[in-house]
Amino acid sequence: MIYNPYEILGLDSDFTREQLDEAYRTQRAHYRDLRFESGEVGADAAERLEQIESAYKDLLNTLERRDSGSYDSYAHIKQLIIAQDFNGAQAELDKIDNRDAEWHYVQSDIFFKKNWFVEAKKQLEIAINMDPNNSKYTDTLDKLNNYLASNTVNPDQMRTTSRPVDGTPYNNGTCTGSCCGDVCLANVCANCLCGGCH
Amino acid sequence: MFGYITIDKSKLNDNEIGLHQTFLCGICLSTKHIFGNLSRNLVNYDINFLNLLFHSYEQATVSIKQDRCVSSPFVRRSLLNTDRITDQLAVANVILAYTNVLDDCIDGAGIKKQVLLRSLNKPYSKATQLNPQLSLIVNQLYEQLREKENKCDSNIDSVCDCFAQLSQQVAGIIMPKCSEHLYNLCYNVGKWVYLIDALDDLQSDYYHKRFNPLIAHFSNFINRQQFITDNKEQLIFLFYTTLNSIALCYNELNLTQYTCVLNNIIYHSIRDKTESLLNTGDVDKRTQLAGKKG
Repeated sequence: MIYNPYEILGLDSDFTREQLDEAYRTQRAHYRDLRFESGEVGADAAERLEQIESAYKDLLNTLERRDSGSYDSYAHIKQLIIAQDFNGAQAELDKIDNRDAEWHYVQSDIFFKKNWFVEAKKQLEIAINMDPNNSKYTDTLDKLNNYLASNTVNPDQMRTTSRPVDGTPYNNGTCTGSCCGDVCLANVCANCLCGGCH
Repeated sequence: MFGYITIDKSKLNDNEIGLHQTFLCGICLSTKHIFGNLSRNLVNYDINFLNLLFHSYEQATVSIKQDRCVSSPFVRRSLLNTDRITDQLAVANVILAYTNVLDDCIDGAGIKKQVLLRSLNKPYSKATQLNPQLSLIVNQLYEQLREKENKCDSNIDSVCDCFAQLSQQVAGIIMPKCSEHLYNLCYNVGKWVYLIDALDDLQSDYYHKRFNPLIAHFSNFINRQQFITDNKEQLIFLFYTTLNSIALCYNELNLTQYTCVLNNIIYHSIRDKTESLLNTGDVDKRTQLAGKKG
């Protein structure tokens, strides 16, 4: 139900690169052929393939961070956050007594993922107070204040990814997704108005 | 759910307004079939937003019939034929409405609410049988909310969380393949409804000494206008992180059906309503009342 890259690829948090590649290949091969099936089976497989791609990319990033030496004492908590286990992440974070700037940054991340934006901002500000030169903290606060909290951004352009908003093959700008369906449905609904709904 | 999620009719053509109305009729019909005529009064625009959203998300095949109904007894209108989603939303709506009235009664509401609560006993009991899981969760969340309200909890994210989870849980239970974006979208919609209701009721909550999450959070209430002016920047942060999260999650869903109405609500209606309340500071009761039922 909820996106969890570990669950999608069937991996534990201490996975290796070989295990990741193997899981990715196996899962992908399984669903690649199924996507051409008709009905729900095909649609499910196509959706699953997208999830597999995202999960693979996310876990590759996790692996890179781990291998590049930036593996920090909060790595296991960050993995719990990626796996959407916010209660687990919070419990682990609460166990840490030394509350440095990174602690507050991770706390901010948990709040942010829970859609607790006021609390996320507070924790970010504490992190910046403790380590004002950390650009990761300042950039994140800047994005929070000037993008997510902005009342001037165009809401139809807001995305987490860089996918183009316009010209996607899915959206042709109609109500039903097909011009034909749109006309049919609009016609019957127009009758509704004539029928004195208001 | 309070009926705040309306459409902005000035930005829609007649056909698109009709589409919105047709879906409302679908939930109304489901409510009638399952609970009888009296409960149809509970149908509101908030639940109809979820109706449109879920149908679009599931790409459900819908069919429409022309028929008369209680609010249009002489002229036939377009009605959405009931389906799994309208039926389940009708059940969820009765559970949410009953628990909301019960909460008001526990807080010492007057005789009108007590009578309403009694009249909802039977529909609620049936709704609980039909969706015991949702009923249990909604009760637990309201209990948590009451605890926080009684403590005058000033952590606004924490207080909003209980109410926001209501619509999130409805999505999780009704939509078997609820994605992370749909889940977060519904959470933030619930949060916005709770916050806009608090902003709308600032003066009356203060006057009647009722808990208001905004007053508890900022704790500097003198009067409505002054309160909004003094806390404008933080209020914009609070409301627009929620509104933009709704837009962001919605965009990520790449929906293709009923987007004319959904875009209108997400990109215009709820933002304009927020802007209006933040700028004028005046309560537009007519808008609120119009949102209760079409």
